[in-house]
Amino acid sequence: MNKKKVLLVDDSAATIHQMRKILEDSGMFEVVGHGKNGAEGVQLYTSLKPDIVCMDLMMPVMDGLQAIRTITSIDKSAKIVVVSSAAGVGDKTTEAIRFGAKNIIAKPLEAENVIEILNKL
Amino acid sequence: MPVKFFGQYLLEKGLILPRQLMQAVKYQAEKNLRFGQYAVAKGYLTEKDVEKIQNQQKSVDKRFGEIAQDLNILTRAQVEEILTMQKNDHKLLGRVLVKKELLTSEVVERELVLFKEDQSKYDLGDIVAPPGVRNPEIVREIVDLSHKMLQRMTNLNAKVKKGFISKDEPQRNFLLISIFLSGNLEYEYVLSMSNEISRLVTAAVLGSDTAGISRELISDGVKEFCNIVCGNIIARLSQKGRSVDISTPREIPFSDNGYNLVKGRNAIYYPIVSPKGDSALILIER
Repeated sequence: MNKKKVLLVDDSAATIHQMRKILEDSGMFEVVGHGKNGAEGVQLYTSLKPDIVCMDLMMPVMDGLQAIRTITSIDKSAKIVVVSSAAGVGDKTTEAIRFGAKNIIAKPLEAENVIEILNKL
Repeated sequence: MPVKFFGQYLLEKGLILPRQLMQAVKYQAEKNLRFGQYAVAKGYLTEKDVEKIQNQQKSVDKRFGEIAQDLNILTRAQVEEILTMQKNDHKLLGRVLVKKELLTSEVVERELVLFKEDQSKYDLGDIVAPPGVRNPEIVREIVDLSHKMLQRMTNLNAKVKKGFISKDEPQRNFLLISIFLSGNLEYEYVLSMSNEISRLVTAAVLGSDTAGISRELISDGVKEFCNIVCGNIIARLSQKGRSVDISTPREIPFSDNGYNLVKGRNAIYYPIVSPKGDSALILIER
């Protein structure tokens, strides 16, 4: 089975570490890169062409909403999932979806939930 | 499970699609009028009054109706009348999804029960705010949710002691992490953690043990923990109509002169005791 390529964009090394572990332990996903802010995320999206992007919202330089908007303007079919501690805030969630995010994962992360949502994309 | 709003819960469960949620939220935004809009429609306020109150809300942590009463441009009875109208007219997401035939009422009712059951884990406990603090109910929410998330994520048997107000700098501890809360609420949220609790928290965030990992990654783990807790706090506050933003977390350095954090401001200290050392939650008024 071909593993789906995932790009992680988060300024927290701890979250990158945990997401990488959850995705790679599942055997279904391969983390192809990670960016520490939205600008790096956009750059890596164009160079790595991942199947899925997991995007934090609050990051320095360029935040997640701006990065989602930029990526979806380059590629309308981009599969972006927001992974954020503020995902329970209704306004932020609906704004992310309006910009093109396909789903939302709230932190703290639960491995089964993460895999299930990414598999449904 | 983190604090969520109902739409996100349905989305996560795959019961609705993102575009369907947007359709329902857009309908809600059109139909659910704001307090000021009701007041203008009733002829109680002018557009200029609304603008004035909204400007004040940027700097004062009060609801629209409270400010209008303070300014003597609405009576208490008028505020209550508008709040009742607003409540009676409010289009709940579940009802909108049924109206738009995106879900059946049976599914909405079933999922609402499951959703409330899930979110009841975060119901308010018996924490008390010290007398004289601003927003005592919100302070209780913040402390209670922080305590519950610490326990749930680490399985630590931690107890929150009675809170008190002080202008003193915190005692030295392994890590002090701070996040600014801003918007309808102006506090600096600080967690002070012992070495052992910092490691437990980091292990919970990383999903693996912390043997041999650097202090930098432990600091990053605790920062992320604070970020998760504050994210869930603002989600809870948004359910209560409070719009609050959070900054990215930072570590407070300890120098020969101690910490330079409180700087003579009012700080609410909640000591947290556990078998893995002592910690504290500190809320500093800004």
